[in-house]
Amino acid sequence: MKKINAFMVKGIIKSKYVLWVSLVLIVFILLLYGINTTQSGATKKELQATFEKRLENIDFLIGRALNKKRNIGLSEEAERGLDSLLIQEEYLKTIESKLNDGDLDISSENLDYIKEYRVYESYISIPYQNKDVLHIEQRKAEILKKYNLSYTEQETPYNTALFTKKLLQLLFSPITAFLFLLIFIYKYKSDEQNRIFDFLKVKSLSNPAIYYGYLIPFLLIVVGYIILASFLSFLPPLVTGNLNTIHYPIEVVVGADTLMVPVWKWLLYIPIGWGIFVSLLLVSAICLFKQRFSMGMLLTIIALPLIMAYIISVQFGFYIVNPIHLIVSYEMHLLPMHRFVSYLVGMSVLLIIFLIASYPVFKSKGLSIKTLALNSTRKQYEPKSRWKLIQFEHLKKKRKGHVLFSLILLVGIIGGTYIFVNQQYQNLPKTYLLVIEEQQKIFVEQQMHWKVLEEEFDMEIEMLRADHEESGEETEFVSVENPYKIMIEDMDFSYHLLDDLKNEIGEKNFPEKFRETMNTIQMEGSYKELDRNLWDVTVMASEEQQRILAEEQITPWPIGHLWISHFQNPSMALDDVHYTLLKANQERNTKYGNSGLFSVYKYLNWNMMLFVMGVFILLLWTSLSDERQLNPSINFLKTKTIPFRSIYVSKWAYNLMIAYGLLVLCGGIVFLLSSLIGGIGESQYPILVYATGSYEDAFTLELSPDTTSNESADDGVFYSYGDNVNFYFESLLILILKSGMLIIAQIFFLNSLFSLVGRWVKNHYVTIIITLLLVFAGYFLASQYVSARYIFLNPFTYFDTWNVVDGWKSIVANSAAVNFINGSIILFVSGILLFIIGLLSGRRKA
Amino acid sequence: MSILKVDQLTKNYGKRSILKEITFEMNEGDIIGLVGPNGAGKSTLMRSILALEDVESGSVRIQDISNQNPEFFRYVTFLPSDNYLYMQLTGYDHLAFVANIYNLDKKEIDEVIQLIGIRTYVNDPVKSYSYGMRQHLLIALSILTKPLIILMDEPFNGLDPTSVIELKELIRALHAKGISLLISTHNLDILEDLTSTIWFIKDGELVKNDMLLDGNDPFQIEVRVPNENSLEMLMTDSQLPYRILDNRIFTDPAYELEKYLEWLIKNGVLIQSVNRSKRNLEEMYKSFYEVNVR
Repeated sequence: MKKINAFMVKGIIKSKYVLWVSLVLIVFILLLYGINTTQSGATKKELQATFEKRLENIDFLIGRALNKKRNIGLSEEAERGLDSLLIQEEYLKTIESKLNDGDLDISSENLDYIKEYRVYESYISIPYQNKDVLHIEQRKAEILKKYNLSYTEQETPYNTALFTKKLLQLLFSPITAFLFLLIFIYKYKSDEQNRIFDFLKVKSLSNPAIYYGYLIPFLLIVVGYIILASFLSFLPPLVTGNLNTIHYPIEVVVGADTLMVPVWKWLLYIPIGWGIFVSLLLVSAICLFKQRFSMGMLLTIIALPLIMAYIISVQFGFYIVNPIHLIVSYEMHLLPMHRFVSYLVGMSVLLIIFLIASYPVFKSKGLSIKTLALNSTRKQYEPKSRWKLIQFEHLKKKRKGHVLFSLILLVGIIGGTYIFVNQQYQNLPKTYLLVIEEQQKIFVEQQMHWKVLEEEFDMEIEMLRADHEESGEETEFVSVENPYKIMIEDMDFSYHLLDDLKNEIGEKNFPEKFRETMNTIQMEGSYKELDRNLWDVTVMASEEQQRILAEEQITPWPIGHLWISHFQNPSMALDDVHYTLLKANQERNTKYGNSGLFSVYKYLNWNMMLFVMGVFILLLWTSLSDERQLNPSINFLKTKTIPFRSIYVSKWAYNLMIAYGLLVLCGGIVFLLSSLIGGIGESQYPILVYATGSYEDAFTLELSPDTTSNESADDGVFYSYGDNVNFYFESLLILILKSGMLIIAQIFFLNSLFSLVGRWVKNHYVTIIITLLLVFAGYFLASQYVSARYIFLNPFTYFDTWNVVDGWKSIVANSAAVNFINGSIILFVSGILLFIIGLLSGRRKA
Repeated sequence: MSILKVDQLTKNYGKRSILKEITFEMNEGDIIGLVGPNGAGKSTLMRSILALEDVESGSVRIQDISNQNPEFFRYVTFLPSDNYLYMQLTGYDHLAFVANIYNLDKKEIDEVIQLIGIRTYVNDPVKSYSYGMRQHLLIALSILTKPLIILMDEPFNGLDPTSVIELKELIRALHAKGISLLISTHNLDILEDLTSTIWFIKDGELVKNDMLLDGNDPFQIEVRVPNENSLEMLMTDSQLPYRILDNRIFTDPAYELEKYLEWLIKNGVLIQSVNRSKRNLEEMYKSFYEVNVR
């Protein structure tokens, strides 16, 4: 076995790929470092904004207190409060000045400020801080002070352990884990084809010696990769002398609590967890290969338990025996406590069990399952009498392994989208907590203003009474109740309602409670009570959507109650301040879900189809140029009784069939699985659809601005005076079906384009490049000149699937002609035209 | 009986003429060898016959079916010099596909596999084949459809002696079954072994060897002279057509032998022997293409 290890390791070390991987890692780290260096500064800005706001509040309170003092004087306690405010002001000014100088080492000053604030709170005073948020801030500042650390960039770190954490999360992600498995499979397959195993067997080596000898070097590579990637990731903080940032506290939300977890826990957990996970995959793979399972079967056998494990983790939460937490959903469950140590030990034991269990598998001879049915790569081709050429195209692609690889990539893209959507949904407790605390912060600040007004009111009453007493007049208004009192009480009530709500985060019916509470708190009037010019799409659509949801008894998607229209998209911001406001509003109202239909909605919304079509062009599709290089296999076909045009047509038809087939298969699998996890979802969910002014003409709807509100609402179509646009609601299912139709048309068009380019170009790779360039150019023109008169004739305009079906594209293009029906027609017609050009230009030329 | 008719086939590459109005017929059971130096147009002729090249003019028909009609390939198969197989597919995949296109059954595939002897590796991907194994597969593919004519472009290239012998035997067997073969090769010995019908291609024109070999073979007069140059000068003065090779004068069949002998004796040349020349293919090749071997 040692000899095999040495033989394999020698081969691996001599391989040029080792150098390449190292180089790629270094380039990747440098690139990310460069990007983050240029983009850093968000934390500083955030801190500046926070402390500026505090200073503003303090100045406001001090001004009012001084005013009161001047007019009626202050009580002893109020005087102390004022003194405290002045001290706080001093601390905040020091902090502000430090921040302005780019010095984020403010934890000591911040702690002093918080300490002073607590003193201030102990007096009869007006609080202006959310005590929970302040408590978290205090804990963080304490840790920073303890380890002599300054605040640092969290979103775009570049020279701290947070950067290392970010790198490790990327380099040891589920994607790299599966990439490792694929590389192992590829290597095993090519070694098997090169008869390496036969070579080893004739050297009188036992099966376990051969297979362990083969496996161990790969496990060593895993270790090597972990060491190399970790070392390179640690270099930035190491070189810049920031290694002590491994103690930097990261906020992790567990239930309603926010816990501080040091970065070093991630740095320790991620590589080890990933390493164990990949090792488990490799051991399973080699055992299955030993049993002569085909690649497809092997991937299925490995993928199924992983999917199951993921479903279990999502549906039933954390289980210490579930190995899926080695790579996903570990932050909340493992890192805040020291439970991660016992989990890693447990998983290491599992790996050892796997290694021991593999011994009888390797040793066995009779156990080998050599069923042909399971071995599709060597399965003898048995042609059917129909669609002979299409069958042959499929055989060629299958034998190259492109079909399986495309299937994996498609499942990766579609499944990855679903997992991302689901992970966002899993993070809802954290989002809820942030939203609640943000709302509480607003209440505290509002309350502060009301309290000041309350005091001023009291002061004025006091002053009037004094005046009246001096003049001897009767004072009827002495008994007048302070009107601000009730507002303060309301605010206090709302604040405590949110406090109670916070404690319920994580409960099963929490979204419902959250919605109810928020509705109680944010009781706002209808937009119809506002001036018509304030009727913007967001306000109108949100209210109308809520109404429809209530009528149809559909559970609204969490989290915000507003449906942010494209008009309030941050990209429409006028300046930085506006951008911040719109961004915050958008984040507060982002919708989350885990149902099948919600995932499809997000998939379409993010236009993930562009990536899928990229896979089709790069990997799956074939054209005539494919037959010309590397060897002129076109002559093989042309010297048979096959009309040349049949070759062209068969390739074109095969591309369509395989693309639609794989899309349906992968989409179907992911949809089924996602439905198993989160249900199918609400097909009738009302989604906002925009319509241009001329839409009314096209659909003969009475929508003119003069026939507003109720009349138009009867037709289900609304007019927004604020944004000067019509809109209506369409069910999610209808929009998904329309998108599906548009995607069918897009694939049809793209395939015809690809086939035509392949008809004229001799090199397959040049065909791919030209097609991609044409797509980019067409898409760029469609976006750049979107308001051009005949833009609706550009097929690439309709590659923006969701924006076409939800009507936004027609608004941007200011043309009702840019719509789903025209899009489908133009894509199909152009596709047919391109196909016919390719077909007619076909000659019997090699 | 004539089966393949090639009429006035003309092919140019730019201004260069590769095939000049090539016209010929192939009969049932013919084995025709096509020779010529590299770039003479052998492969172009074959590819033009198969319509793999666009030609300027001319027609190719087999049993009145034009080569522009895919049905043409029901009767003609091709064994190319370059590799046109699919590397990722197995030999069996290729055979099964062709059998499917021609509506043949599995039994016929098995017969060919047996006949060519490729069973041991037919289920391996072509990329793992040696050159000889690929040639065997190509032969299997070309005979699977039971054609009337097989065009073989350099079939012996890169084959080991055993494979050459096997292929020669196979060609004879195919010939015995009545299949016609047009074989282009550089290997003159092998070709001479297979057929007496050799066609030369030169400057875009096809010259059949029967024009050079049959009937009026020239005489060769072996003489003894101090140097070949003086003989050359002497024969130039004779005003008779001739060719000199190694102190041997090759006569022109159109002229009487006596005239040559008379001129030589008159000029005092010692004549050692007079023989009727039966040139081998190599000599013919040398003389036709004016190859000077130093």
